[in-house]
Amino acid sequence: MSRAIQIQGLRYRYPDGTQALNGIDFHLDAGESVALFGANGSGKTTFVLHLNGLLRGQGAIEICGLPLTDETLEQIRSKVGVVFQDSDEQLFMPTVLEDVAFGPLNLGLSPTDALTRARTVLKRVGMAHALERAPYHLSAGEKKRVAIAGVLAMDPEILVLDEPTTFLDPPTRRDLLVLLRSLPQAKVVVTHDANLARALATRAVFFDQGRIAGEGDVMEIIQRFHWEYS
Amino acid sequence: MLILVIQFVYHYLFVIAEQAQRMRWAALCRKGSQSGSFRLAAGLVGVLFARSWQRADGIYHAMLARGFRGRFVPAPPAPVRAPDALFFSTCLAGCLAIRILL
Repeated sequence: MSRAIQIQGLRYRYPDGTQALNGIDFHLDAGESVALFGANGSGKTTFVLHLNGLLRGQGAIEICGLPLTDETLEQIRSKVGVVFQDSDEQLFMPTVLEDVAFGPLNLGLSPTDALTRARTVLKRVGMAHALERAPYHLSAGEKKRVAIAGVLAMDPEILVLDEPTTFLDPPTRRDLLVLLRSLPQAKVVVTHDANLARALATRAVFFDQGRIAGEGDVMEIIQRFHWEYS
Repeated sequence: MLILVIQFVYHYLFVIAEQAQRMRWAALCRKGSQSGSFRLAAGLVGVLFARSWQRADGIYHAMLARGFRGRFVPAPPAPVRAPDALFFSTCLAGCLAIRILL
């Protein structure tokens, strides 16, 4: 099976001196789904911001066989789709359709093709009824779907989801899970939601103070690190 | 470009206003009174500014993640529909009426 992500010895220090990542080795196979667990501030979000070069630390990062460098940055950003935790940060265009077409237009698609692709993915995520609506008038669940559509419109090979179920009610979480399970891309899911991880991921990685403290089967990691409160 | 910037501002005014409202409520809940103070207002504005700054950073990251390279690629303009034509005609008629009457 081919490697979607291969990372060795990743280190990152924030400008204020905080050592956020301290030697991360990580891999993800094509089509695989991995859950990232860990306490707040353990480095999970900092780590995923490295996967498409939004942050640049020390260490070797390969995405779909391409080493992450200044020259490959644009190519890698089209392969790794990041869905941010706060949908309001991700949805910045005046209408849902324009927002989803933003990525394809940047990829160089003609306006007609970009809009066609945007309509297709919006239909896929169940948001075809909201093409002309303003993103800030949508519910939290609808915003999340549109944010996912915006990333899918770039036709990525890897999906990175940062806390996808935050702010969502249980029925909306369930619908989102069904949607995510239907997507064939390899997935990296940052989450505190053990139920989501069990249902979506085949492997879990536990972060602690910028290091990987454990890795393995989702249930085993949940039990080893007591990652459920009931 | 100017229109796009205005659209951005319009869009995020709602988001920031909502955040300001939540912060004000949180402050009122712990203050136990409806009366405001200059010190409280200054604190809220300061925190709101810092959060907006942080949000702007997040938005820029989200744009980069979707292939933004510093230049907006425009989508084709929406077709002119009956309400648009009506709005334009009304504005034009209003301007002409003012010009003729004054």
